[in-house]
Amino acid sequence: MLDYARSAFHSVYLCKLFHSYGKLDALDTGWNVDEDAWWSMVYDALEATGTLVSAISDDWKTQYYLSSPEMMEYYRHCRTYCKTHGVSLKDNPFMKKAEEQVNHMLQELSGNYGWTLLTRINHQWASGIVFYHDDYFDAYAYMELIEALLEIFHFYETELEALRQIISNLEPTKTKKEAA
Amino acid sequence: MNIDLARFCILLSEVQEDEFLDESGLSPYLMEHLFYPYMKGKNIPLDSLDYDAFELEDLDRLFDYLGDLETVYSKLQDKAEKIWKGSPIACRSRAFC
Repeated sequence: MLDYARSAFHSVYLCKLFHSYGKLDALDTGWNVDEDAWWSMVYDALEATGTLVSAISDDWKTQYYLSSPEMMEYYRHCRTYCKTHGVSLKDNPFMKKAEEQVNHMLQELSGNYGWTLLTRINHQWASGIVFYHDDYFDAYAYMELIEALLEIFHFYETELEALRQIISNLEPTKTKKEAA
Repeated sequence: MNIDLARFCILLSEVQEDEFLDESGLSPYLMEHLFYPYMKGKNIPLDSLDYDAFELEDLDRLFDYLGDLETVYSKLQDKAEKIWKGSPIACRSRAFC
Protein backbone atom coordinates (compact mmCIF):
# COMPACT_ATOMS: atom_id res chain seq x y z
CA MET A 1 0.00 0.00 0.00
CA LEU A 2 2.78 2.39 0.95
CA ASP A 3 4.43 1.92 -2.45
CA TYR A 4 1.33 3.19 -4.27
CA ALA A 5 0.17 5.79 -1.73
CA ARG A 6 2.17 8.65 -3.22
CA SER A 7 0.75 8.17 -6.72
CA ALA A 8 -2.73 7.56 -5.34
CA PHE A 9 -2.68 10.74 -3.24
CA HIS A 10 -1.61 12.74 -6.27
CA SER A 11 -5.15 12.23 -7.59
CA VAL A 12 -6.38 14.05 -4.46
CA TYR A 13 -3.76 16.76 -5.01
CA LEU A 14 -5.03 17.22 -8.56
CA CYS A 15 -8.63 17.60 -7.35
CA LYS A 16 -7.60 20.04 -4.62
CA LEU A 17 -5.58 22.04 -7.14
CA PHE A 18 -8.59 22.43 -9.46
CA HIS A 19 -10.83 23.12 -6.45
CA SER A 20 -8.55 25.98 -5.37
CA TYR A 21 -8.97 27.57 -8.82
CA GLY A 22 -12.75 26.96 -8.76
CA LYS A 23 -12.50 24.44 -11.59
CA LEU A 24 -13.18 21.12 -9.86
CA ASP A 25 -16.28 20.61 -12.01
CA ALA A 26 -14.02 20.42 -15.07
CA LEU A 27 -12.46 17.20 -13.74
CA ASP A 28 -13.95 13.72 -13.76
CA THR A 29 -13.93 12.86 -10.03
CA GLY A 30 -15.78 9.58 -10.42
CA TRP A 31 -12.68 7.62 -9.47
CA ASN A 32 -11.49 6.05 -6.26
CA VAL A 33 -8.23 7.26 -4.74
CA ASP A 34 -5.68 5.00 -6.40
CA GLU A 35 -2.66 5.05 -8.64
CA ASP A 36 -4.62 4.28 -11.83
CA ALA A 37 -6.96 7.20 -11.19
CA TRP A 38 -4.09 9.64 -11.15
CA TRP A 39 -2.58 8.40 -14.39
CA SER A 40 -5.99 8.51 -16.05
CA MET A 41 -6.85 11.95 -14.69
CA VAL A 42 -3.60 13.71 -15.42
CA TYR A 43 -4.15 13.98 -19.18
CA ASP A 44 -7.78 15.04 -18.80
CA ALA A 45 -6.64 17.60 -16.26
CA LEU A 46 -4.26 19.13 -18.77
CA GLU A 47 -7.15 19.66 -21.17
CA ALA A 48 -9.21 21.21 -18.39
CA THR A 49 -6.67 23.92 -17.51
CA GLY A 50 -7.82 26.11 -20.41
CA THR A 51 -9.11 25.35 -23.90
CA LEU A 52 -7.13 22.62 -25.57
CA VAL A 53 -7.12 23.66 -29.21
CA SER A 54 -4.93 20.86 -30.51
CA ALA A 55 -2.71 17.97 -29.45
CA ILE A 56 -0.24 16.35 -31.80
CA SER A 57 1.99 13.42 -30.96
CA ASP A 58 4.59 11.42 -32.84
CA ASP A 59 7.39 9.04 -31.84
CA TRP A 60 9.63 11.84 -30.57
CA LYS A 61 7.51 14.75 -29.51
CA THR A 62 4.11 15.69 -28.13
CA GLN A 63 2.78 19.15 -28.74
CA TYR A 64 -0.22 20.92 -27.23
CA TYR A 65 -1.81 24.18 -28.14
CA LEU A 66 -3.77 25.76 -25.31
CA SER A 67 -5.71 28.98 -25.19
CA SER A 68 -8.71 30.49 -23.41
CA PRO A 69 -11.43 33.06 -24.21
CA GLU A 70 -9.97 35.32 -21.50
CA MET A 71 -6.53 35.13 -23.06
CA MET A 72 -7.96 36.09 -26.46
CA GLU A 73 -9.87 39.02 -24.99
CA TYR A 74 -6.78 40.09 -23.05
CA TYR A 75 -4.72 40.44 -26.23
CA ARG A 76 -7.56 42.17 -28.07
CA HIS A 77 -7.66 44.78 -25.29
CA CYS A 78 -3.87 45.05 -25.44
CA ARG A 79 -4.26 46.29 -29.04
CA THR A 80 -6.85 48.82 -27.91
CA TYR A 81 -4.52 49.96 -25.13
CA CYS A 82 -1.72 50.46 -27.68
CA LYS A 83 -3.94 52.61 -29.89
CA THR A 84 -5.28 54.72 -27.06
CA HIS A 85 -1.95 55.21 -25.29
CA GLY A 86 0.21 55.55 -28.38
CA VAL A 87 2.55 52.72 -27.44
CA SER A 88 3.83 49.83 -29.52
CA LEU A 89 2.89 46.25 -28.67
CA LYS A 90 6.50 45.72 -27.63
CA ASP A 91 6.28 48.49 -25.04
CA ASN A 92 2.78 47.67 -23.84
CA PRO A 93 3.06 46.95 -20.08
CA PHE A 94 0.25 44.38 -20.24
CA MET A 95 1.99 42.49 -23.03
CA LYS A 96 5.22 42.49 -21.06
CA LYS A 97 3.56 41.43 -17.82
CA ALA A 98 1.80 38.48 -19.47
CA GLU A 99 4.97 37.33 -21.21
CA GLU A 100 6.90 37.49 -17.92
CA GLN A 101 4.19 35.52 -16.14
CA VAL A 102 4.09 32.76 -18.77
CA ASN A 103 7.88 32.49 -18.86
CA HIS A 104 8.11 32.52 -15.08
CA MET A 105 5.56 29.73 -14.67
CA LEU A 106 6.95 27.48 -17.40
CA GLN A 107 10.69 27.89 -17.02
CA GLU A 108 11.31 25.51 -14.12
CA LEU A 109 9.37 22.37 -14.92
CA SER A 110 10.96 18.93 -14.94
CA GLY A 111 11.89 17.17 -18.17
CA ASN A 112 12.76 18.27 -21.68
CA TYR A 113 10.28 20.70 -23.11
CA GLY A 114 9.78 24.08 -24.72
CA TRP A 115 7.03 26.59 -25.35
CA THR A 116 6.02 29.53 -27.49
CA LEU A 117 3.60 32.25 -26.47
CA LEU A 118 1.42 33.45 -29.35
CA THR A 119 -0.33 36.79 -28.96
CA ARG A 120 -2.07 37.25 -32.29
CA ILE A 121 -5.82 37.97 -32.53
CA ASN A 122 -6.55 37.34 -36.19
CA HIS A 123 -8.67 34.25 -35.62
CA GLN A 124 -10.62 32.49 -32.85
CA TRP A 125 -7.71 30.91 -31.00
CA ALA A 126 -4.84 32.94 -32.44
CA SER A 127 -3.46 33.68 -28.96
CA GLY A 128 -2.23 30.68 -27.06
CA ILE A 129 0.62 28.65 -25.71
CA VAL A 130 2.35 26.04 -27.82
CA PHE A 131 3.91 23.55 -25.41
CA TYR A 132 5.97 20.58 -26.56
CA HIS A 133 7.91 17.88 -24.77
CA ASP A 134 9.84 14.72 -25.54
CA ASP A 135 8.90 11.11 -24.75
CA TYR A 136 10.39 11.22 -21.25
CA PHE A 137 7.93 13.78 -19.92
CA ASP A 138 6.29 11.72 -17.16
CA ALA A 139 3.14 12.16 -15.08
CA TYR A 140 5.03 14.06 -12.36
CA ALA A 141 6.18 16.56 -14.98
CA TYR A 142 2.58 16.80 -16.18
CA MET A 143 1.52 17.68 -12.64
CA GLU A 144 3.93 20.61 -12.64
CA LEU A 145 2.73 21.65 -16.09
CA ILE A 146 -0.92 21.50 -15.01
CA GLU A 147 -0.18 23.63 -11.95
CA ALA A 148 1.67 26.17 -14.10
CA LEU A 149 -1.09 26.33 -16.73
CA LEU A 150 -3.80 26.78 -14.10
CA GLU A 151 -1.84 29.72 -12.71
CA ILE A 152 -1.24 31.18 -16.20
CA PHE A 153 -4.89 31.04 -17.26
CA HIS A 154 -5.91 32.36 -13.84
CA PHE A 155 -3.54 35.28 -14.48
CA TYR A 156 -5.30 36.10 -17.76
CA GLU A 157 -8.69 35.94 -16.02
CA THR A 158 -7.73 38.32 -13.21
CA GLU A 159 -5.59 40.70 -15.29
CA LEU A 160 -8.32 40.91 -17.90
CA GLU A 161 -10.50 42.63 -15.30
CA ALA A 162 -7.87 45.35 -14.80
CA LEU A 163 -7.47 45.80 -18.53
CA ARG A 164 -11.25 45.92 -19.09
CA GLN A 165 -11.45 48.63 -16.44
CA ILE A 166 -8.85 50.77 -18.22
CA ILE A 167 -10.46 50.28 -21.61
CA SER A 168 -13.97 51.01 -20.32
CA ASN A 169 -12.76 54.30 -18.81
CA LEU A 170 -11.60 55.51 -22.21
CA GLU A 171 -13.75 57.46 -24.56
CA PRO A 172 -15.05 54.77 -26.94
CA THR A 173 -13.81 56.14 -30.27
CA LYS A 174 -11.08 58.57 -29.40
CA THR A 175 -7.54 57.30 -29.68
CA LYS A 176 -4.56 59.32 -28.47
CA LYS A 177 -3.70 60.23 -32.05
CA GLU A 178 -7.22 61.38 -32.76
CA ALA A 179 -7.30 63.44 -29.58
CA ALA A 180 -4.09 65.23 -30.62
CA MET B 1 26.53 -10.40 13.02
CA ASN B 2 24.90 -12.07 16.03
CA ILE B 3 21.37 -11.11 17.00
CA ASP B 4 20.02 -11.83 20.45
CA LEU B 5 16.41 -12.53 19.45
CA ALA B 6 15.15 -12.64 23.04
CA ARG B 7 16.58 -9.17 23.71
CA PHE B 8 15.32 -7.99 20.34
CA CYS B 9 11.76 -9.08 21.18
CA ILE B 10 11.90 -7.32 24.54
CA LEU B 11 13.03 -4.07 22.88
CA LEU B 12 10.30 -4.33 20.25
CA SER B 13 7.63 -4.84 22.90
CA GLU B 14 8.83 -1.72 24.73
CA VAL B 15 8.43 0.57 21.71
CA GLN B 16 5.27 2.65 21.93
CA GLU B 17 3.24 2.89 18.73
CA ASP B 18 2.90 6.67 19.05
CA GLU B 19 6.66 7.10 19.21
CA PHE B 20 6.96 5.82 15.66
CA LEU B 21 6.67 9.07 13.68
CA ASP B 22 5.44 12.52 14.58
CA GLU B 23 1.98 13.10 13.11
CA SER B 24 1.30 16.36 14.93
CA GLY B 25 1.70 18.66 11.89
CA LEU B 26 -0.58 16.60 9.67
CA SER B 27 -4.15 17.45 8.75
CA PRO B 28 -6.52 15.43 10.99
CA TYR B 29 -9.06 15.45 8.16
CA LEU B 30 -6.64 13.93 5.66
CA MET B 31 -5.43 11.33 8.16
CA GLU B 32 -8.95 10.27 9.09
CA HIS B 33 -10.58 10.40 5.67
CA LEU B 34 -7.68 9.59 3.36
CA PHE B 35 -4.53 8.12 4.87
CA TYR B 36 -5.83 5.59 7.39
CA PRO B 37 -8.69 4.28 5.19
CA TYR B 38 -6.31 4.02 2.21
CA MET B 39 -3.72 2.10 4.22
CA LYS B 40 -6.47 -0.27 5.35
CA GLY B 41 -7.31 -0.94 1.69
CA LYS B 42 -10.67 0.82 1.72
CA ASN B 43 -12.15 2.43 -1.38
CA ILE B 44 -12.20 6.22 -1.14
CA PRO B 45 -14.23 7.91 -3.89
CA LEU B 46 -12.54 11.18 -4.90
CA ASP B 47 -15.87 12.96 -4.85
CA SER B 48 -16.50 11.90 -1.25
CA LEU B 49 -13.71 14.15 0.06
CA ASP B 50 -14.39 17.64 1.34
CA TYR B 51 -11.89 19.81 -0.51
CA ASP B 52 -12.60 22.77 1.76
CA ALA B 53 -11.40 20.76 4.78
CA PHE B 54 -7.70 20.90 3.91
CA GLU B 55 -5.12 22.94 2.01
CA LEU B 56 -2.59 22.01 -0.68
CA GLU B 57 0.14 22.50 1.93
CA ASP B 58 -1.52 19.77 4.04
CA LEU B 59 -1.07 17.38 1.12
CA ASP B 60 2.57 18.50 0.76
CA ARG B 61 3.09 17.63 4.44
CA LEU B 62 1.39 14.28 3.90
CA PHE B 63 3.81 13.57 1.01
CA ASP B 64 6.72 14.43 3.34
CA TYR B 65 5.27 12.08 5.92
CA LEU B 66 5.02 9.34 3.29
CA GLY B 67 8.68 9.94 2.53
CA ASP B 68 9.56 9.47 6.22
CA LEU B 69 7.44 6.31 6.33
CA GLU B 70 9.18 4.97 3.24
CA THR B 71 12.56 5.56 4.89
CA VAL B 72 11.50 3.71 8.06
CA TYR B 73 9.92 0.94 6.00
CA SER B 74 13.10 0.57 3.98
CA LYS B 75 15.23 0.33 7.14
CA LEU B 76 12.85 -2.24 8.62
CA GLN B 77 13.03 -4.27 5.43
CA ASP B 78 16.81 -4.11 5.59
CA LYS B 79 16.81 -5.34 9.21
CA ALA B 80 14.27 -8.06 8.43
CA GLU B 81 16.46 -9.26 5.58
CA LYS B 82 19.51 -9.46 7.85
CA ILE B 83 17.56 -11.51 10.41
CA TRP B 84 16.19 -13.75 7.65
CA LYS B 85 19.67 -14.38 6.25
CA GLY B 86 21.29 -14.99 9.66
CA SER B 87 22.29 -18.57 10.52
CA PRO B 88 20.97 -19.92 13.82
CA ILE B 89 23.50 -20.67 16.56
CA ALA B 90 22.87 -23.64 18.81
CA CYS B 91 22.27 -22.99 22.51
CA ARG B 92 25.29 -23.74 24.67
CA SER B 93 23.18 -25.53 27.24
CA ARG B 94 20.42 -28.05 26.67
CA ALA B 95 16.95 -26.50 26.50
CA PHE B 96 13.44 -27.91 26.16
CA CYS B 97 10.47 -26.14 24.59
